[in-house]
Amino acid sequence: MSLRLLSPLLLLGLGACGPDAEPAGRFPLALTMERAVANDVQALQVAVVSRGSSRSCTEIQRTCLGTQVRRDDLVVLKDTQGREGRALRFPVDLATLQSGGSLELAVDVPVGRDYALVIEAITTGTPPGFLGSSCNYLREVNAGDNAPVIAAPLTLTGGDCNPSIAP
Amino acid sequence: MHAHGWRLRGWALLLVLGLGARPGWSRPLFPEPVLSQLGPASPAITEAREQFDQGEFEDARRTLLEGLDAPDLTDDQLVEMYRLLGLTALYLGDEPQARDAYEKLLQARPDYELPRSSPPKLRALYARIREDIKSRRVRPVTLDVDPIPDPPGGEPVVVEASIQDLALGARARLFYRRAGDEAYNSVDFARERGPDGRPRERYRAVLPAYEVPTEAEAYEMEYYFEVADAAQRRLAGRGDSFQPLIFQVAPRAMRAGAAADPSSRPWYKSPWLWVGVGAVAIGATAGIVALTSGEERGRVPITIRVEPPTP
Repeated sequence: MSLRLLSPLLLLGLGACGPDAEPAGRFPLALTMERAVANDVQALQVAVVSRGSSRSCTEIQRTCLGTQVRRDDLVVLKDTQGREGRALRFPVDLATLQSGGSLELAVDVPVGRDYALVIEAITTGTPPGFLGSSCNYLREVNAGDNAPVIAAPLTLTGGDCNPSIAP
Repeated sequence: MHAHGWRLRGWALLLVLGLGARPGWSRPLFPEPVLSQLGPASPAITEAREQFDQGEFEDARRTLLEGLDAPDLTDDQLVEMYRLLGLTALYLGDEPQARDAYEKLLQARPDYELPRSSPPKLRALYARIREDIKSRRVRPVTLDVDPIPDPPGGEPVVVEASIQDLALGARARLFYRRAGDEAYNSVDFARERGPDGRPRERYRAVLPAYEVPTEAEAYEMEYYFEVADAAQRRLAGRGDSFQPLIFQVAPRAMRAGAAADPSSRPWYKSPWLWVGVGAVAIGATAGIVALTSGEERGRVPITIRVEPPTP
């Protein structure tokens, strides 16, 4: 058999090797919220920005994310109920949080590299208000196990901006 | 009795003259430490000290400001110049300049103490500045630097940055390591100088070529930028040791691709061509399958807690 016929077959054979597909990865991220934020927060808005290393998290945390990035810069997220959007909102149970309990969220992020994950504390009135945000660089998101990340504390920033992001 | 009264008046006059005299005149009564023993020498420092000791404060300030513009000053010389400039500015009633000079001095030497013989007004100002620095109310350093694009390998990687308000004695460094290694190495950013020899706000660091060799396989380098003061406190940065930035060094095959041996067999007879065609076909098929079967995702659980109340 000639070499030029063998090569694609060899590649096909090699492609069949390797581990089986892994289950969706766990990516633990613990976030501390400043008490001043917890007094007013009504929802948390989670978004993931592409090309994270080219962003300045310090700048991002100063005001609403939606005013600083283009819609195309945000990756489409999914929550555990199957909701999809470039920013997902999760209502906050204030009583649980203030009594020392924790709030557990989860978002499914496309596997990839160089993200920034931004969690914004907002009020849900009309219009919604921005209280503060936590911006975190995510080097990569694997389908398998991911390294733990210590999230930047969510501190009260405030600002005259509308945090809404179109889905 | 009359003679005793005149003697008393004479002592009182001497005392008043001594207290009210300008610093240069009061030296015999309240000797200052010898300035030349307090720091390193340079022509500007020597001249400024003489002017200061003779009460020519404006001249001393001018000499010091010109001296600070000179290239290649050592840190010790800069510290001494800022110390003298702070003192001179205070005697001239220019507290903002005195504060600016002492802030720079303190950022370079956080443990610097004024001589005990320093005037009370100077000691009070100095104490206030120390408090400001402790509570970080001083002007922050700003670092503006772009991430490093993926380099070809085997060549030095040059990184340029803009740094504003870099404190005296502070250093800007690029830390790097091969992904998977434990320890970081570092190279310093050096300040660029304009055509006139004066320093600019632009800085440059060079990652040596031997740190990013070309290899058969691509590999990743982790890195971060950091500006730290003399006490190794981080003043500014981009990325950090726990969350470094990454660039990928291209494999040898990519570099050598364009420089193939011209005496080799015709391109269409190369087995690698057909390997490549096969790989593209497999990749395209896999891509189509992946697209049609949905995007692969990783789950990101997030736990939110409220900070505990402060006691």
